[in-house]
Amino acid sequence: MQLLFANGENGGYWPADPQYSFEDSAGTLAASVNGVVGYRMDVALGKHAVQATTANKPYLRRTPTTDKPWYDSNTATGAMNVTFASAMGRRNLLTYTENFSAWIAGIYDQHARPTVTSNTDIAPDGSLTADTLTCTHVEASTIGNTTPTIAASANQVFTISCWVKSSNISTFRFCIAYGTSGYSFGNHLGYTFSLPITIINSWVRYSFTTQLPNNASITTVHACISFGSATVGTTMQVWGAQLELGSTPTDYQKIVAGPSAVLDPVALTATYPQNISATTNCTIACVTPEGVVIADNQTVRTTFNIAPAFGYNSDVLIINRALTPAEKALVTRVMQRSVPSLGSNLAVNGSFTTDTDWTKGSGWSIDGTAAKSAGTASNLTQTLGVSGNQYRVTADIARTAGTVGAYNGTAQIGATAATETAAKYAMKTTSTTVGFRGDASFAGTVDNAVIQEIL
Amino acid sequence: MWTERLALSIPLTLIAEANTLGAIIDQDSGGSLTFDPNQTVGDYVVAYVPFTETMRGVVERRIAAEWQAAIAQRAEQKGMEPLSPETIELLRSSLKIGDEIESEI
Repeated sequence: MQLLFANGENGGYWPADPQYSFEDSAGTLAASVNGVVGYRMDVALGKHAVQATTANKPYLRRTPTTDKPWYDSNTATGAMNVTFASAMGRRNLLTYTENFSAWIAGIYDQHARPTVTSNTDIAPDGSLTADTLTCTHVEASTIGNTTPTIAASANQVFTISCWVKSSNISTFRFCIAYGTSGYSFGNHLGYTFSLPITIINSWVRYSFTTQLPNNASITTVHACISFGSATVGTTMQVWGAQLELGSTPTDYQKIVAGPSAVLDPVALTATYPQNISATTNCTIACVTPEGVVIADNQTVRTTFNIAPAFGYNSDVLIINRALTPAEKALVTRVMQRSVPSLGSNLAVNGSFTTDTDWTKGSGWSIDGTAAKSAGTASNLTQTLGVSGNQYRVTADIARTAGTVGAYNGTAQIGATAATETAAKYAMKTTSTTVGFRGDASFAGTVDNAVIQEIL
Repeated sequence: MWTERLALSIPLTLIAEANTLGAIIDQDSGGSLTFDPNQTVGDYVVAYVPFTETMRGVVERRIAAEWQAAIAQRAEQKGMEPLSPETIELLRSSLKIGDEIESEI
């Protein structure tokens, strides 16, 4: 594996092996099974990953049958998180995606910033979080994402999407601008506007895809929403902005604040000692319950942490170049040794085709899906498995309000707060009555439930 | 030695004080990022915290005198500025644990 780094490539390899895991961030106390991990040793280049806040450390687990080590977090903010710019993790590159008051004048501060009135309308998710934009210029009233800057490079394909509605204008435009750094006009290289997009006075999620030009000077991209040609004082409501790599708008991810998930052309600091710098084509390989996932052309920021993206991970490899097919085969062979095995699906009637097999707590009903109304925190359970063993739970979540997660016999594990296909949870059970739990606010549905023991 | 994670929540307005407490009681050198302002339920910020069995007992019992003594002792051990007794009492009385979070938010 170290040959992958023989030519000075940046990156690292953090095996899930307990001999490379320590309880404290100084790397002095050996980690123990079911104890916390604050230091993961990089066996490639010695760039160790650390986490000094105990609440943000994953647990070191071992699978009961095959004795393979893995890291278990069960918290969305668990440190040592592997953040992929893929369906496995962070996809939305924007911040403040439901708070446009934090956004700036669009197109690198060139246009007139619309006035933003916060939380004026019920958003598509039922919350009072949609904002109203008011046009301030007849042809150049545009709002754009704020810091941190979003890194980009020539020829990359981006898709911007957002829910938009209006009672007094009939069209708006998306715009993706690109530049050399920051958000000042002097760093602006160009932009691509969408054609006028027809809108109605109901929520519709619109999107626009464009490929950046073949310009080696491009290092940043700026996502914008514009009135186009409009009368000053007209308005539109907006909610749920998303910018992502690729040509398809994927499920919306709410991002409140903090850095975007992709690269920052600045060398990582001692706090984030992986030290991957100025690269646009990292390869990230990670052990998941499905096997080894190798993601090409991923980009990595300064805050790239190593931790379970959904409460589960094992070995992680990051290298700042594309791998050859032979190298991928090598990586797969090496990392495959750490792929935990999963048992069969123990959930009966996981597609909820009939109102049978599940014990419904207050507010739950079954009619093609399992639905819960808000009011009381309650469970949807079956009797299965062995108390004290570890299980992986997945389900399709359609959420209107509140949070839902797995139920391990005692508590809610995970807190899915958005509609999500194949939401994943890892849990150690405390009884054989397990399944799902919605908090008091949760209103939504659960479908296609799968519960598998981690063997 | 380590227990399963315990869900703790405190009012968002007390996050600075709670993270100061987090830094004092953390077994490691960190702890000031225990509560993340982006992880909220209602007006409360929630963290899922692993404890040693001893410290978990102190937290869960919520005995005022025990909190005062344990936190002051821990601050002294780590060479940190202690929290005022009033702040400790405010955090103790505001803290919600486990199922209390879902039932009262």
